[in-house]
Amino acid sequence: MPYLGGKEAVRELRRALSNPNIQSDPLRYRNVVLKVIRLKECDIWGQSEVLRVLQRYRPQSEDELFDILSLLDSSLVSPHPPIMAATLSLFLSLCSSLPAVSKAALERVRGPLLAACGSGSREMRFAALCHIQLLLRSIPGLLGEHYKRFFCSYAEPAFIKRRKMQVLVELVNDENVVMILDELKGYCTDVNDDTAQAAISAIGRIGRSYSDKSLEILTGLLGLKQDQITSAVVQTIRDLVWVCPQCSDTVSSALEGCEEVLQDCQGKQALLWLLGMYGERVSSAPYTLEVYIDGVRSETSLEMKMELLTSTMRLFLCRPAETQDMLGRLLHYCIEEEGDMCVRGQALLYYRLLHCGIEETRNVLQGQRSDPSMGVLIGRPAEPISQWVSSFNTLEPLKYCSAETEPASRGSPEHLASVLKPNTDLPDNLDCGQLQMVHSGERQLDQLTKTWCTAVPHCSPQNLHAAMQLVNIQTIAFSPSHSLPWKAHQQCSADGEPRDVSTLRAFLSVLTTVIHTLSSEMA
Amino acid sequence: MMRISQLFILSSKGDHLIYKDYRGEAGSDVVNVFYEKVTALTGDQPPVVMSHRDLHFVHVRQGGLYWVATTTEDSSPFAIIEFLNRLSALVRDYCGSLSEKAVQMNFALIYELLDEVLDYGYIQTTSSDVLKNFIQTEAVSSRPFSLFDLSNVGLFGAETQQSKVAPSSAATRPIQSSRDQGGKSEIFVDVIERMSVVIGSNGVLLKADVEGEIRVKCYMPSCSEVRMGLNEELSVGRSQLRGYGAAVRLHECSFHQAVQLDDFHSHRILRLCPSQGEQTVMQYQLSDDLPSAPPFRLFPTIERDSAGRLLMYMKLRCDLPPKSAAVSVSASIPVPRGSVSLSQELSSPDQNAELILQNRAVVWRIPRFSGGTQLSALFKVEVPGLSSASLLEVGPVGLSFELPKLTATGLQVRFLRLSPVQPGPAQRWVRYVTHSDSYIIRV
Repeated sequence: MPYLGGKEAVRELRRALSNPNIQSDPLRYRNVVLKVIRLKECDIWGQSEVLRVLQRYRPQSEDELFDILSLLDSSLVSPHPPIMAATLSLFLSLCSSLPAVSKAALERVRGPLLAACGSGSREMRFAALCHIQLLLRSIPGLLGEHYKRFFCSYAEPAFIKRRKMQVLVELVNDENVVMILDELKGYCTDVNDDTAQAAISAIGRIGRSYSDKSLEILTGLLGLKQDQITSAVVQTIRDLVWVCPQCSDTVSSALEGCEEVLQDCQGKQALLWLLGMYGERVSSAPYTLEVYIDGVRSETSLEMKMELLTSTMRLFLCRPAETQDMLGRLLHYCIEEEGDMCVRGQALLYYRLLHCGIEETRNVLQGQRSDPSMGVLIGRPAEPISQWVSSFNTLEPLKYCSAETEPASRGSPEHLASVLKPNTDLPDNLDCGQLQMVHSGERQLDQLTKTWCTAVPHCSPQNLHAAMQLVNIQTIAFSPSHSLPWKAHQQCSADGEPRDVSTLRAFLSVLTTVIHTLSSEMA
Repeated sequence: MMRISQLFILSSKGDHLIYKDYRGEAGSDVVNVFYEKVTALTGDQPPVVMSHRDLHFVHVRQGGLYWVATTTEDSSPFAIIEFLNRLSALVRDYCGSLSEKAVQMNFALIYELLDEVLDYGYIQTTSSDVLKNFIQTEAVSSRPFSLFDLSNVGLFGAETQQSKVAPSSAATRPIQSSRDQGGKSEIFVDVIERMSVVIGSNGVLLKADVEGEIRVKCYMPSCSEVRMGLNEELSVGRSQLRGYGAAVRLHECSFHQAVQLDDFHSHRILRLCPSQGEQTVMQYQLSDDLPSAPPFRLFPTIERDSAGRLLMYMKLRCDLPPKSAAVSVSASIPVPRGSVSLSQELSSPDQNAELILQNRAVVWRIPRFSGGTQLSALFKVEVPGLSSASLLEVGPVGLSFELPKLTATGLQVRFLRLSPVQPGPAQRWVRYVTHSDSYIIRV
């Protein structure tokens, strides 16, 4: 079976590249390379193979490098996507030390990539889209005026629509934000739930920079009174408010009446968090919470109950008169009747906090309300090309969702992803006596915090909690990841009296062992 | 090095049609693994690339079948997708049409093709010119018998050049795989355009893109040179200057490798030697600069009536020239969730409308819509618990249609000349069609 087209060329090229005589003589070398890159005579498979082989060659001088680049220039804008991609991959690897040339190559490839995005084959369109996302990481402004190409067609499969929406979010700027938001609004009522949710969260992400316009659309969607849409909108608003606290006024007025519509756990959790944080501005907040509190016996989700506890406590701190009674009922139920230890432990913690006094409770509960440093949409620094060049023209960009998608189910924003912390040693002078004093209700928290310089190992809070669970120590609450000192409230059950020093010592030793193990593992 | 480990074809129901292992790296249970992954997804299209442990599947859908290749992670997705698309085009060329039935009737031919196009997983060639030297099996085609095949007699029994119309099935016969050629010499040139339009709720045209292709399907025994002349006043590029008159304009175009462009710059003539089967000679795009108005405009009125039903009064206007018409027009109007039933008043009996709950939309079908006319329809939808906010859910209207004998850009093939190499006369057919890729009118 004859292999027409590329085989001769490839063999010649391989021979030339390994022949030191040819390599040392620039004229002969150039002739060989010229002869070999008779690309027009090969079919596209032959051309692709030649380009792949060329990847292995390192040019000896910059002149040689530019020679190769100019010879292959016409392939860079080839209408055949495999050749264009292989050429660009070769260019980027050859010019890894010349960022200006790489950027110029990326801009030349814009036309063919856009054409591939409109190809008749939807799989080709998908591949082109995923690679455009890679390019946008380094040149965010590459496709600003072509944003209309990324509007979704109504018959497209959901996986293409999702990627197009991700690209649209990246292309937002002052001129096109109104058009893009209008277009995304049309997708929010799509019959496919995933697409609708993706559109709503895309609007939320744009809202980090254009909060007024986005919120207008989101609050309008709440008027539809549909469970899926309302749930997605409430979760998006929660994420948006965490980053842009200045929109809290608009948000508060929109939240009235959502609770009737919400059916699913995540939506309800998001609503509870919002009511807890901004409850003083939502007039019906206590009554909404009361509805949930009355139904807590039949509630199955753990996270819901914990969120309910926290939000009711927070609301109590700003509106005590209205919430005192229901808080009492809730705490009573959770402590006396609730079966799950986490919920019970948290309720006990809150009860004892209240005993300590209102100021302590405020200190613990009313922590951070927002985190504007979580990232503004526009103005993110462009990544260097080297970060993604190894996955260009491979299957990888098509496999995973890009980094922008946020997981559908997340807890409250405080419990977000981990941040590494400096390792400080566990002091050896941990004193059981101090723990005892805290337990007996005296105000020794500050002192204890100072002496117990909590050694947070080089690992995430999640690892810490997982490790603790192994020794039957439950985590009730912990402070936001990036606050120092980082605190966690742990609870465990043991035989013997809590005031008994030996029990306490046993507890402490278990705790220190766990922390030491984790820090030594990670070190 | 990019290579394919296994290649298989599945029907949409998961029946194993074709399976070939090139490298012996994995077992044949990969087919089941793939189909399980497809069915595990909740009803939506499976993503193009899926992985299972260290296997990577890349697939395309053509002709209602799954064409799947397993490969390594560092393969170029563009190359594999292009290869699978070309493979399915080759199978279509050789078998005449692409469907489960055609594949089932031509196992031997397809396995022979697979033997030739891939060697130990490395792509050798996808050109039918090269392959015709190696493929021996003849195709078994399932072309239905049609009265049109009997003769080329025109109207009133007289045969005139103008009234010669070939049935659309003429272009779906298999190419001859054996060396000696029987059958007519024919060449079909299709100018196919896809239109993507978004019209805002105030009637303003927000986006209008056209992607077009000139495809040549060649049933000629030997390579004879074809000269194809396009509009003389065709201009390519985005320059701001516009000549007087209705110049035909394209923003970008690209050509097949084999096309010679020497006469293109001066006289807009393309020269090429087409190989057997189908190839795309030219691809072009035009954005936001269409020479004529968009073909359809909608004037909707949406309100609630006193009985709490959703009333949609739709006036659809066709702005094509009066002698042309659009066919297979279908308007899909999303309706609020919870819609139960539909009653309609349509202006003619050949139209029909139904409420499709799965898509949550009312679909209004118009078989033929003449240019310069308008049609109206009144839809009443029962939606229990309809509120004024629900009217927001009456989302953007999507139209799909086909405009036969028309190109949105105005591109025409002025002439098609064949160099006289082959003995008998060759039939030349030119066909124009514009499809809607995505035509959205916001309400």
